[in-house]
Amino acid sequence: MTYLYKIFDKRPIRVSYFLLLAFLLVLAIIFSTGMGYLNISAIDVMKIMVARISGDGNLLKGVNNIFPYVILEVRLPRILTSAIVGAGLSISGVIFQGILLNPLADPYTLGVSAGAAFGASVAIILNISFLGAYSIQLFAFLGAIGTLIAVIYLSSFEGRASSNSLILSGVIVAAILSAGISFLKYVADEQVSIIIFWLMGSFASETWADVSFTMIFVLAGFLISFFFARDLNIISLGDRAAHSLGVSSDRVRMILLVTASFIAAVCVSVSGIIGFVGLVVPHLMRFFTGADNKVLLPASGLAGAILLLSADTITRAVLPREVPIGVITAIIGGPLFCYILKKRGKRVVNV
Amino acid sequence: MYKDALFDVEGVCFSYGGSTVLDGVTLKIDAGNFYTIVGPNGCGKTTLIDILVGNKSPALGSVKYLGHDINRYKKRDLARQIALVPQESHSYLEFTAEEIVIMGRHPYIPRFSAPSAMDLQILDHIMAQTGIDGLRGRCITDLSGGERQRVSFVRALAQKTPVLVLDEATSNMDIQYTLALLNIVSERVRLENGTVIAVMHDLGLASLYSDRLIFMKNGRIFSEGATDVVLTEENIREVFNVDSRIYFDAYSNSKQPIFKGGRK
Repeated sequence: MTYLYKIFDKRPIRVSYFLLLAFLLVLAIIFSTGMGYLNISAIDVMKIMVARISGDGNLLKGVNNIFPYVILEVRLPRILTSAIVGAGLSISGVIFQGILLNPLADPYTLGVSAGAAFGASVAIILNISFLGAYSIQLFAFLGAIGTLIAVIYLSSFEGRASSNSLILSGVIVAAILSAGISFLKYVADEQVSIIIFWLMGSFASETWADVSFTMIFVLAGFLISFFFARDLNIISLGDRAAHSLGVSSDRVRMILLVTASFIAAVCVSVSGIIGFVGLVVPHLMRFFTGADNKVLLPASGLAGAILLLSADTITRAVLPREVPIGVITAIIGGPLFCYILKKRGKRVVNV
Repeated sequence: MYKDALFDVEGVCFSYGGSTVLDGVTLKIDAGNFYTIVGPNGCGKTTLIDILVGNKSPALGSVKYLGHDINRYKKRDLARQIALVPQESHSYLEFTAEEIVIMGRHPYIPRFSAPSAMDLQILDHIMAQTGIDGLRGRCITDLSGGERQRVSFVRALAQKTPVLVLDEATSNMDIQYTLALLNIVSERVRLENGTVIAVMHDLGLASLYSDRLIFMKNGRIFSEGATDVVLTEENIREVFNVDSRIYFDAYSNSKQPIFKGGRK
């Protein structure tokens, strides 16, 4: 008797993973939207959302008329941005771990975060404001992309960039940029607290423009990486084996490297540096889905959205005083990663 | 059926940085034979293989496969013709053995499709035939070096190509699985007109399976021919710089080289 217990029998299980995760995400969005200084019931939240989407004003009868403004203009942009950034960082983390063949890789391994931080610091110090509130974001994004270009230039030889030289170049460029950031903090007077606050990440004061901007990049990045998901699987066999299966690993690696870095750059420039999500979520999801990137990419995206949204809700609505989101994710993600590392210590360390 | 040589290698040169690795290799490979390339470390065996399969391009000279330049084939088409078992068989991600083997079907599965019923049938058959059924659900990262190499070998078999290239593909396996896998491969050569190009270090094993031997030395072909003709004490001395005795062994029906060790 033939038994294909994984490939065949697991498919329904995988589909139910996605349904469960998607359901949890919707639930998390609705409940967290209700939470905050003004407590709004889930029913009212759904009424307001449906009314907004369908344009049917009758649904709003009996709902406090300040609620729609609070939900639509204040809370939802922040909540959706945090969910999209969570998804983006996790997808980016899956890609980086896949192309760098290193389980400790994350969206910031190549120095994208340091570049964004440097760009943001420069904008803050020079008081650049020709784009209003978006100036810092623009500079952070440019800093991240500039870093990516420098790292790829440093690590490529004859169009090939090995995983080790990429990681090394990332570490070196990030170290130089960190020194630059330290210097900027040193010469900054009253702006130093703005820089520090930016570095720790925050979703406060996100707008619908932020939502659409991150959504476009993260969705495009996801589609590109999903298109190459099977190639990403095969690259893990090594370049020679991948080639003999018809996959040009150099090309796929470069496309995905740029894709993942763009996702990370957008996420960082919108929300600051939020650590551990991109490192922990892919590991966490591999427990459930296995290593197949076709499944892991969407699953990590959904799980990352749920986790970062929850973390942001904790700091926004549960804690008595807002704590930087980067601190929350590190406090939750750090120990979680220690647990995963210890539990699978042999496997992770021996790679 | 194509009449000329399967592979036609003409004056191939290759160098890494400044040092020459291949220095004018000319070679014809005919379908339906088991070829083994032997030679000392660093003589260019692996580079020659990479050039044969189109993974590297020669600095000078040409490689033709079925009469056309190897680099003009689409990668996917080539992947349906030539499978490679590389020396190193690592996987850094926690794929199961089954997932690795089904990757061998990648050139046949459209981008967004799941494996077809035929792919799964091939998977089932090949895993049973090669005795790695027991490793099916095991994580590749938890396997021993030899087990991992078997999975890598079976992945290439699942590719079902007319040409199979083995780069020290059995170096970490025990004798049971070495013989089992090479038997499957040589059966494909005999019954399906398949072609094997292998790199091996064990001359005895090479002699058990190879129709033809290719001795390499310093980036050149030192001697090429039917195994029983070119497997000689002189060639071994010239290429490897060691003394040997060669006897015909009736049990294995092959010529076997014997070496002198340090035993008193």
